[in-house]
Amino acid sequence: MQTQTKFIAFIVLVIVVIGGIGLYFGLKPEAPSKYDSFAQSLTEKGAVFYGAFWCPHCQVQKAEFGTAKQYLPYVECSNPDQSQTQICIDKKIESYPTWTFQSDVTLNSDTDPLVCDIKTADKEEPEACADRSSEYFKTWFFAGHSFSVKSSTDPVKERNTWKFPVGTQFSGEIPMEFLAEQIGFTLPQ
Amino acid sequence: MNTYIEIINKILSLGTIFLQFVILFIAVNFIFFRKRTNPFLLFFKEYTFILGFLAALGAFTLSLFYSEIVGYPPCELCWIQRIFLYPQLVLFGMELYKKERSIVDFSLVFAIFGSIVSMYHVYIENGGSSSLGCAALTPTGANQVSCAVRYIYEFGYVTMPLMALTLSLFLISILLNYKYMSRVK
Repeated sequence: MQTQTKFIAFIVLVIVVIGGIGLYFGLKPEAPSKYDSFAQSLTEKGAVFYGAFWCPHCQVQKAEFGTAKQYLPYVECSNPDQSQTQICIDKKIESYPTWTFQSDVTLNSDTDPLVCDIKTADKEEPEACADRSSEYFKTWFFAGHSFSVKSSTDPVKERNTWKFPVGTQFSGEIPMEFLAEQIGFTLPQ
Repeated sequence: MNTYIEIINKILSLGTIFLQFVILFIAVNFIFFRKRTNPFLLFFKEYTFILGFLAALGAFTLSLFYSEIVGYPPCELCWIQRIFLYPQLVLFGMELYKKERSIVDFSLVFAIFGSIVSMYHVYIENGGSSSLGCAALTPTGANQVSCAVRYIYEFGYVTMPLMALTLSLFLISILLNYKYMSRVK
């Protein structure tokens, strides 16, 4: 009987300790990060980060910012059941993470991008565009970039630079350097 | 995400890490200090069924909490893992209630199959989505719930399938320990 009491006490102790540490981690205030000012600048400059809480790419993107993620211009696009929130339906967000900026975006590339037209039921799309094209926008895929560019307006091309208008969506793994470049911010070392 | 869900996620992730240490502890004792007088192995043998029952009860309750209360829809692999997990509650319950020790082998087989599915799920989760982002469940799209989604992602590696894998491995380790310690004289 005494052994059983000890065992129950042990189990309760384990649960209390784990619960206590969990509460501490869950409620403790976030420590400052070297990316705080970068994340705040993104918000001030009107950039928007559309994401879903369950999306691994969004989790990686947020993890890159560390505790500065609290300052990111993040918009949650998913309800718990994975259906889309109205704001993201209205913004025609089709994948996560998607970033938009309040200024033109210039992309450099030595090769021409793959361009996929808007997906329609009556038109057969090229194989390279299968499962990648958008229902609302024309989509550009640049070699060496792990994200797609969606816009309803064609970019202005000058030599090896493509200039996309305000409102263009950038979806996929967006490097921090690219984000910093768009708002003219120098990343801390 | 609600703060209370974040706190529950943190607590569960810590519980998972704790269980991983317990598995490691049992494995080290089992491999290097395997004697019938080893007090730790005797402790786990003594409480095999109550520990297994509590672990299965916790997993059963929490999996239903996430799908039915929080509202996270389970993917196909999650359902297969549930198929191997939920009977554990009945098996361990019967073991406790009826002292029916022949059920040990059935529990072990369920745990082994459950861990194989969990391992595959962890693999899918770590490389299952395109670098171009996660597809949204748009009103016009008819996407299924992908098994590459990560509802929980804590401490840089703890996810739901990893929790399921840890639980299965814990059950395997205590059951193997029970079988061995019952046999040695």
